[in-house]
Amino acid sequence: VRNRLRIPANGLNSSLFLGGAAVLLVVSIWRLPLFPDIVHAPATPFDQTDSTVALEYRLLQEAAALIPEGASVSVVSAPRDFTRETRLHREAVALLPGRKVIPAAVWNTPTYADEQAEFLIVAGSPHARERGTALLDTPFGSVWRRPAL
Amino acid sequence: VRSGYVWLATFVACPLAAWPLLAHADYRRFSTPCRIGLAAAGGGVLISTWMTIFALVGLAWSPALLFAVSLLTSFLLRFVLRDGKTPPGLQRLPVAGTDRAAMALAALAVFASLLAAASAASTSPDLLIFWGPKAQQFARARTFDSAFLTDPFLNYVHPSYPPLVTNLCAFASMVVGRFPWGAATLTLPLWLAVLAVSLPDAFRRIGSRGGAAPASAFIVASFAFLGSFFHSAGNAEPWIWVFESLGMALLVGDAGVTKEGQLLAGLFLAGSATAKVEGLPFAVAAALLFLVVRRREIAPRRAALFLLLPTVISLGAWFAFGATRRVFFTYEQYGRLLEIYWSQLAPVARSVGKALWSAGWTIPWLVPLAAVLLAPARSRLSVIPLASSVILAAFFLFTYLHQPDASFLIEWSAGRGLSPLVAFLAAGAVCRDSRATAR
Repeated sequence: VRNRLRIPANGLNSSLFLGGAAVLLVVSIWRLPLFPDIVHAPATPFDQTDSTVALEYRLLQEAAALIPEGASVSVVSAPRDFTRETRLHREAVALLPGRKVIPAAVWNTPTYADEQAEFLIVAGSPHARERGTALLDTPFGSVWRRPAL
Repeated sequence: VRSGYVWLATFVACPLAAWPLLAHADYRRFSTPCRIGLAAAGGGVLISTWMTIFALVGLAWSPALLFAVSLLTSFLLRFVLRDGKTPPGLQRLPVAGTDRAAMALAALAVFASLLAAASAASTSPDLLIFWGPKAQQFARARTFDSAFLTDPFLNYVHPSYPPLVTNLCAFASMVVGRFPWGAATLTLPLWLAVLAVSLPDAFRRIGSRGGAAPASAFIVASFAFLGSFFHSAGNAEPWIWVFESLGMALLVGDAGVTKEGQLLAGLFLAGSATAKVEGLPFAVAAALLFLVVRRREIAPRRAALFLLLPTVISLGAWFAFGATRRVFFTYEQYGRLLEIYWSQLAPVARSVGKALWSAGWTIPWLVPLAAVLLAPARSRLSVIPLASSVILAAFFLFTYLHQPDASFLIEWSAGRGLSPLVAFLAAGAVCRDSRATAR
């Protein structure tokens, strides 16, 4: 049958692989973002995968321009959420290189060490509590220089 | 943005570093694009290994010096090979009719992966939490930063995790002076492109007349899809895909019985072992299976030396660094070795099945498995990739069974961890296919 149909000995494998590759290619293309999102450079590497992380990334990137190397900094969330603050600490370690990043929470448990930081980043809407001198105020967070103790 | 492009361009140091070795006449059985891809993978291993050795002996990293010693190592490795005369039987194999369609599919898959990564649709938080901070800090310190790795608040970075990916990202970061987060995600399409140019010819050397390019295209398309689906851009998966796929292709191909093939395969096994934790069981299993299955075609002691020595040196240097700096002595463990939750076997199997099903209805794994089962002939060589698949799957199962509830860990890692099986199963199918076409 194989010879009559002129299918090469490896025809089955080749067809399977090519067909499978074509299906996966179609699914990959189908999963791509909309065209406008492809042609415009994303603001952060997380724009299409995690909107919360993307906002935190933008806040920390803007904070990096205001906080000098060597300074101590802590990141808290408003309202306080120790799970989120654990993640914010890890993101700050990544995006604020050269600064001493003091964790407000680790493994979802508060450290209460954020009070020692020279700079405070607040992720979330502005908080009523006085935090020192405001250096940056955006809808998704703020940066404060704390008064010297 | 410009520093991101320069950062990516720095990876050209990888193929350049290994080119003196790949330019040797014994590698002329492979096409030039294939040799460039092989050199990229081999050069990456050489540079990373030297970075680890420099850190171990307390030498600060300098990109120029690291490149120079890697280049010199590559040149010296030529002396291990023959005298440079092209041995008989090294003629390149003809390209089959379906190859053009396969190459077009692979190219489109890489392009789709590029679009997904560039539009921030493939990024995992692991880049921000784990790979990026380590690479960035090591680049700033110009060595493995022991203070960073031993900071109790930073133990989430997995201090003992093998260093190849963070090494090479740190290498590029030292050149441009910073770690570009966006550009790091483009390592996914970059390494897929390396695979797309090198794998078809590496598979052709297994002996398949027409199945090599379609199987390679399928692997590239699968990895492009899985890389986007599991958000692997900027993570280690693209790197280990290259090392494990090319390493396996060499082990089952005609180059596997030669010194040059074993030398290169040994470098790729070392690349696997130092890219991800699960790369070590793969490297050991693949090498041992090769030594058993092909024992009549090879000089076993020499083959064992070529295949395992690079892993011993590169991973040994990493553990020696950890031990001498008292940072770590072994890999972190998930529970005690023999404390296994056998009652979790069914839930773990269900969760793994669910994770694989979520990724394109398991098509990436089912298609090569079907190709293996439907192949017209059995092949002794196919034991190497197929048994490697079973061993790697067993390793993950063993790991998951150490958790009282591994469902979250499985959801997060099973699809990515088991993704190399796509290439192993396809290699098994190509082995069987080549046996059939040889009749």
